Amino acid sequence: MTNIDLFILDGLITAGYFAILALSLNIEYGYSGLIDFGKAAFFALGAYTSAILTTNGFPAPLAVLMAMAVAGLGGLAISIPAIRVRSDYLAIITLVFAETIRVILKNESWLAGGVLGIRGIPPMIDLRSISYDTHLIGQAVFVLILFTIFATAGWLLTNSPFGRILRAIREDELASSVYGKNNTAAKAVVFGVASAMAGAAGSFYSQYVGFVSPDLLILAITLQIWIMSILGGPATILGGLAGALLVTSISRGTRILKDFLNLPLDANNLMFILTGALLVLVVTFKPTGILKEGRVRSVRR
Amino acid sequence: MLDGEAVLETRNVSLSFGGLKAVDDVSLRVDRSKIFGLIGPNGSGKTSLFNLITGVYRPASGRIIFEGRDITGLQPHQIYRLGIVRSFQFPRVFFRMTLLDNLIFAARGQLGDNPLIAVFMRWRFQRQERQLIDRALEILEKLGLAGYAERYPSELSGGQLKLLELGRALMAEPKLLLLDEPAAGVSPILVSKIFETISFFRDVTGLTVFVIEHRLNVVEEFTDWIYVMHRGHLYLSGTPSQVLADKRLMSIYVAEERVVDET
Amino acid sequence: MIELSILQTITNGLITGSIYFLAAVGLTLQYQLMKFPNLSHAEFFAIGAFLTYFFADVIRIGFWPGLALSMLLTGSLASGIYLAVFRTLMIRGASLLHLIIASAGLGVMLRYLMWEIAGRKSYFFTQPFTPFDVGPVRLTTLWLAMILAAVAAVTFMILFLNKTRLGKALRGLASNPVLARLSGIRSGIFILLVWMLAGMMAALGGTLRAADTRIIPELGVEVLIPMFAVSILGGIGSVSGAFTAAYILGLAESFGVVALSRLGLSTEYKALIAFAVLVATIIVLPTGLSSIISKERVRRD
Repeated sequence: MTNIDLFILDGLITAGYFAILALSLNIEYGYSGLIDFGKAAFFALGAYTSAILTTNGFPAPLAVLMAMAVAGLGGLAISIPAIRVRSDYLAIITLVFAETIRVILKNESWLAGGVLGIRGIPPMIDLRSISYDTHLIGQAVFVLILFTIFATAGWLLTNSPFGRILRAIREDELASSVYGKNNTAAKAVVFGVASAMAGAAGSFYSQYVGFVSPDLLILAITLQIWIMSILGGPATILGGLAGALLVTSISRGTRILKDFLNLPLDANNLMFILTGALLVLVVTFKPTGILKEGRVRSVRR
Repeated sequence: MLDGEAVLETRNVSLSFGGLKAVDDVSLRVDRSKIFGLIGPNGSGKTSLFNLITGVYRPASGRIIFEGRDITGLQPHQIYRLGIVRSFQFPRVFFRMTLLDNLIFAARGQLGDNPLIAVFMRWRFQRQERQLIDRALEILEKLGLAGYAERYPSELSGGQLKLLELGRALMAEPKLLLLDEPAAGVSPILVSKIFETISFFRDVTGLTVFVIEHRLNVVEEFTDWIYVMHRGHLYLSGTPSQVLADKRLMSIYVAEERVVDET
Repeated sequence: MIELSILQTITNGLITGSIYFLAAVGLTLQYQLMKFPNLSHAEFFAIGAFLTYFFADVIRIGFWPGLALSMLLTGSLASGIYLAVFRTLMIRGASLLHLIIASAGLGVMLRYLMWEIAGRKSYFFTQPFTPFDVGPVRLTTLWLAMILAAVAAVTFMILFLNKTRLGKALRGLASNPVLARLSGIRSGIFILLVWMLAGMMAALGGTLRAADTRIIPELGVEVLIPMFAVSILGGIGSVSGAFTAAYILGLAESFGVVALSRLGLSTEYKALIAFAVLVATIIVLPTGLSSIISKERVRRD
């Protein structure tokens, strides 16, 4: 395969992991109406947990499980103060939580490697001995399977009476509780599950790229996930995939374009400026996204 | 005097907002399988009383007893599970769900509410779901909304939304049904339909109804007992014929008008 | 090793608190008026500092004139952004969630624009600030200026909001928009005014902070967590609440930093103090201090 093919494949694999993150955000925001600005924090919690374990000789499957546990419990913990109160407080708390975690990880050298992070993470499935091409293709297939598993779980969850509760919470919490639903418990479940999903993605992603750093936690990354969620269609299962593919193409595309046109701009800065601008534009002009929300498909009719 | 079995009792309940007493030392009871009416001018505290009974607000003082059990301070979803269901004056249906889903949502004891069952043991809730769909369709049929079952509430007229609101409440199989102006702003034909449906369900299931209603003719025809609220406290109570003949009833409505004129 | 001098620690806490107040007061007023937290507010902190630098040291009109000009310009920029972005969104019927999301995107956009324009290096004001001692306490003219600025700002704000017709109308608009509009208050001008004030306060705080440390685009991010902690602890919309909360937090951090260095930990962990304050407030007293210290009726949820 040519370098361009490898570049595209790497882009697809990254998009795949972000699709999982966008899916978890869809469940929180698209279906349940919860604003989570800490998505990248749970991704990073999972990635770091996994990285610490795998670089110290623990087997990869255990690392993944621990990553999900840490991220999931973190999600539950942070949701407890916020889900009883108001939706804007949830946004603030998750934002501040992510920033706090970032500060801690940046400064914690002994366990987390400080600013440089942790390097040299072994991949879970190593096909590099056959060829690099095969290894990448294997990674791509792997992330596709992973996404399918999470998408199925997400679909089952949101197309059920529980999914109805989420949609109710999203629209009118009072009406929901007056009709017998325990909103707080449902929101806690959503937060725990979505965070665990993000943690799993973090764990696998760390094993793909081979390193983790506090830069995973910057708000701009969370906002990229938000764009993917909103643009793809927030109250859908596949919307996250559509959004991830779109946004990854755009961000990689601008990089290529910038080199091609020889623009005197830093590619990183440009990408994030566009991220911010795109988010504002999407929210203004296409807040329901590309894919449309469907009926609750709890039984076949 | 009331001689039935009290299903609901409020004992000296009060509620304040800032310095304003929305509900002022109200003690009343609602008897089993009867239809009780609650009337009074705007702002007299009727909806606030409903909010207290359903746990939306906690009373500053007093107690609320349901079927002999003190439910003061319980949360709305807990009160629902005990059998108290309420509808809203301005329908609070879910516009992003179909009518059918709106109704099924209200049913109690759904196994699929548990996320683990939703993902890993779908067969367990799916049978129940099919039964609920049948029951929901029956209710929609009775309300003349069966054609909209798979459509969204945005397609309904104001009157039809009120019917949906009522249907959802009935789907919840209440022991005590609190209806907040179920027929407000609705055409006269629909008004009869609504109250006939309520009476029908009362006759068939023995449920108890406590209804806030403005129209005195409706109240006269359909209720067994009336409470009148004025400025937060209980002003009059009695059978429809007693209350509606009472001169003091008109005075409070007129008093409210005079207050508005003076400001 | 920081020597434990209680008076010095208290003074440091007052200095920090002053900056936190200036950072938070604009946010808290905006938050109450607009009903959503403007997540891009932190960026005006840095923008104000950069503008002062531009006028003071590039065009060379001096620090204090530069600061005044920067305050005006930043305030105007804030109003302009409200008109261009948020007012457009509100006219289009954007939900609370969308406004919060858009403000986050805007913030990221602004920050990366700053990085693009200014680069990743630190800038310094040429204005010297002479240190002097008051008894056992070390002060500089800058630090004194910070405290004075905060006191002046709070005095101005409270007088303005309570004694002038304009201010009282503003308070009425914030607490009861429908009633205010019915009694003939033209809300458009007032909203612009609040954004202007918010931008000005941020520019003031940012410039003074940058003069104390350095001018970098991340200046706002550094006070992000304290900013929110102060706004919520003080009670959204309450100037006196924010003032009280800012100094509580400032002192807590000041003593916390001493404790951290005694324990041999990085002083960056002081971010945890602000985070803990934020979470504790949301759990214990979500309406903030203002609901108990003043007769101000913070809005019911």
